[in-house]
Amino acid sequence: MSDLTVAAETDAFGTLYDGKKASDLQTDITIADGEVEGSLKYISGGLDPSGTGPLAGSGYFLALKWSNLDEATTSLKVGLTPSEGTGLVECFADSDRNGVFKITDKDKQFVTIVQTDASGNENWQNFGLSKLVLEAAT
Amino acid sequence: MIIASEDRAEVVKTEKPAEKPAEKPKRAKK
Repeated sequence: MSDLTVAAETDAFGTLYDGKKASDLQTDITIADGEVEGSLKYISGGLDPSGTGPLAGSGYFLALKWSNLDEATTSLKVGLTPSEGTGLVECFADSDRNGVFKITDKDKQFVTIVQTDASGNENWQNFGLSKLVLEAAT
Repeated sequence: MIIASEDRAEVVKTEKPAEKPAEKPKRAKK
């Protein structure tokens, strides 16, 4: 199966979460050779006012989008690795093709995307985050 | 859109404003 294409989400998408657009979260994000580079802004209070979801709590948030799925893909799972809970979530039916990730340990975490076809063949792609620059809280 | 942390990942609906329904053409008065 072929790799899909991952890129930084942009303001063209509009509001992502809690009234924030991509440029409110990050600057100059690029992806090359399986590594995400660029800067993340510190978001005081996090992105989830309810304080219960994955994006709750102050910290750093990365917005990515993906495209060019393999034509045979029937399942698409995305998430952060390692994960203590549900891990990757099935999102093939989600037409947005994007996501916001709360980064709590850029040196150990990966964004993981898994395509699977009807025969069970899998294509795993991991994107390292260690090159990200975390901007100081203002 | 998906949202993910070290604990879990979820699919959520995006906060795009609802699209306005197309206006029906007005009937010409007889």
